[in-house]
Amino acid sequence: MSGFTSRAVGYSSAATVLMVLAFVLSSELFLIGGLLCMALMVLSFSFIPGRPKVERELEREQCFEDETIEVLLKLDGRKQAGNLEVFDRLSPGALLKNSSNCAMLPPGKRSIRYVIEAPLRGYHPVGPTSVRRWDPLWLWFSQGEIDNKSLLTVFPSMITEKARVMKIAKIKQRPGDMKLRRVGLGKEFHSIRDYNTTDPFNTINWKASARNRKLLVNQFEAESVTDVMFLLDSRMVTRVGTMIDNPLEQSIRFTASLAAGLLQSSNRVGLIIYGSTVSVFRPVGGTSNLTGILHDLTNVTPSGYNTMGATVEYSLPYLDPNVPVVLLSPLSEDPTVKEAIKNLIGRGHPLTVVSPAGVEYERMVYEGKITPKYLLKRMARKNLIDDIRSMGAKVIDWTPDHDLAWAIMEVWK
Amino acid sequence: MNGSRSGRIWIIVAISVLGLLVVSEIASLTLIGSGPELSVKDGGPGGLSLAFGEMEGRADVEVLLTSPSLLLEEDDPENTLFISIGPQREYTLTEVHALKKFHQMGGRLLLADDTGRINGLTNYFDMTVVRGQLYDEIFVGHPDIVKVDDVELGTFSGFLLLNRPSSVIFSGGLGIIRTSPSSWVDRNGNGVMDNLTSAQGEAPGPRYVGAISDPDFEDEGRGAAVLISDPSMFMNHMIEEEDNMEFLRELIDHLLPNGGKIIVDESVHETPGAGSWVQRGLSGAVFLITDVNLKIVMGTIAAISVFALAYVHEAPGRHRHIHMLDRTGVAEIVDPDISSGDIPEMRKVLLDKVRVANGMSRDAFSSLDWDRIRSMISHDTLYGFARYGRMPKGSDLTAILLEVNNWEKR
Repeated sequence: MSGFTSRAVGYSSAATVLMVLAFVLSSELFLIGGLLCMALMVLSFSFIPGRPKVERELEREQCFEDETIEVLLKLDGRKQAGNLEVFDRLSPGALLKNSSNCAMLPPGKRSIRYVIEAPLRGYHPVGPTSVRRWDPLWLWFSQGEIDNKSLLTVFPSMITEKARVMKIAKIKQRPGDMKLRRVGLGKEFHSIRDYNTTDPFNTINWKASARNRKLLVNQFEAESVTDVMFLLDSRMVTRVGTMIDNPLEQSIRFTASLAAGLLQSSNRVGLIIYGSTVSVFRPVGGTSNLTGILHDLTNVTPSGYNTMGATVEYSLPYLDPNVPVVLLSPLSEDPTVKEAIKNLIGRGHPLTVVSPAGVEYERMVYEGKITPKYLLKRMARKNLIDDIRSMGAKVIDWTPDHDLAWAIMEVWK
Repeated sequence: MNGSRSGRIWIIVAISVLGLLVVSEIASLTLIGSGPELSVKDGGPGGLSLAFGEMEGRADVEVLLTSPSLLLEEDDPENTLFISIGPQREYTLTEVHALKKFHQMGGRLLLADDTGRINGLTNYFDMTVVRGQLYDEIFVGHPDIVKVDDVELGTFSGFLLLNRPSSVIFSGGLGIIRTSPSSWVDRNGNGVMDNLTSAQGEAPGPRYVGAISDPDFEDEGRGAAVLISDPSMFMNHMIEEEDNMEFLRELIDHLLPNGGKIIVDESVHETPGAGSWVQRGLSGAVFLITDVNLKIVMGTIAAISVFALAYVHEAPGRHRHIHMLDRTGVAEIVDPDISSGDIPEMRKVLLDKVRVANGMSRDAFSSLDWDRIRSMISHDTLYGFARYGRMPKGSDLTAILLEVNNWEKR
């Protein structure tokens, strides 16, 4: 794209007026003036610098929410007259922390350094770089985009430290690792028994075998790992409040934190996300799978109107019996909530409902004012939560006054 | 962008119309289209190459290919003779103005035309070419070839042979070529001497074929214009007949007694061959910068173009990073107030609140009769509202809502 400035309009107007006057008045003086203006414009136009090469270096390509990333933009072009206006496009979900992503530079080898902050999880594009090439008199410009897009992956923020030191109060009712006094494939020694043909050789206790003159094998305690399924509500209504602080984002941060803690404790974590579709991620274990779960959570966008009832109906075949379920939903705008919860509890799933109060986030949009509609919705929500509690589920009513750490601590109480 | 789409279209239309006007005006002036007849560059019988050669032998000769408008730039008009023989187009107002100015500055003009195209210019000198062929009983071989011996120009004496001449009328000047009393003008072009009685009739009598606007120009130091109503007498196949060539010499000597420069106007003839396109291009350029009408149109185009440029100009905006993190969304509290449409939900909320406060399941609560529920609510207004959706007179929904909010099991 090319264009011109107001200054160019001024120059061309002056040239035109002078030329017309020169012809009408047969004046050589005006003719010289007009030609001079035109010559300046043409001359300046011919000095528009060439298109530079632009490369971008990100300090790192993955980070967590609220972290900062330094971006280095390197320009390589011929040193000549004119000017370059460089603008490195950023995702609307990113903030400029330091310096600027726009700069005026003379042509040649140059670099720009700026720092961005990523307060919102997601896959944020950095670039492409828009380069506007100006003539020396700032009359004309030629603008183009250089296809050098980078992708910054911002994972939801987590409080892994707290999760790591959490203690499981009631082993059988809460997720976490628990040892059973029975034979299994754990690491703690349990007993010795006779060898049979299906036993692996590395379990043979050679000293005991030599003493008893027959092959004996070691038996170890079984370590039971618990599967925990997260049921995440990502419908459009979960996007109430601000972009950064809303029920969906809080739910995602909560899921990421708790999942990280559970994986560290040798549990397996599965994920069901419903919104416009229902996505089921089977339980996986090991900390190496945390990144995969984080990517799944990073990719979530608020959309759709699928109900919890329909989601639970769809997901039941994927839920192993008695698997603890953590439901994350503001419980709003969904008439099937109670039915779905009844269904889950009826199947024997220990249910923990973590419910960021959507109505409270909406109240914040109205600067905290208590409006009649808010009052009505708050009462309806309270009745619903009381009903769910009476069904046997643990409900954490998570208002914006409480932080993520509070919500996680509530789970373990 | 400042300008609307329709505004731009009107600007484009205005500029296009004016541009077409300019192009058509230039085309009509430059596309003469009748061949190189009476051109000094034509060596054929209809050309003027012999006359041109004679001119070159008597003075510095310059051929004007573009437009007589450029005569305004002439340095020494008193010693310059402008010759236009058989113009194939009319002169524009600007050209007439330039030639008048040239004459006022002491310039000399030799104009020859038998069609009347030149009258726009010669009217200024009170001379007019009369349309209609002149016939005379004194002719050579054919009535079209008229022989004249009454010539009053300097020391010239001899015969002139004219080829289908017209006649000249004038006031204030002096006739230099006169036909015999038996000559007549065929005004209606039927070749017959008729219409003898009307004022514009064809009655025989002496006619003038040549005249000079100011016979005493030499003494007074003024300009002079000679009009001859037969350009054909200077053609190659006529100039050497009788004393035509001698007459041309005498004319030049008379109008340029001290010698000087002759400018032959070839802008009114088409240049033979490919050079005609060069001539048209040059003429167009000269018209563009000299013609008054075109100047007005061009000035208007320039003004409209400048305004249009300013109108459609979009200043390049400064780049700025815009984030959307401040955006907010609502779902349940789109309208912060409640209305009659919320009454069913309010009733449900109230009954649920009573049910939950009493630790009852939905099924158990549904099986209760209204008297039992009334005793549970213990509030007549709320009971009326819960059962019938009724509100006391003078109270509004907000008041009921506050009552529901404040209700507690007693």
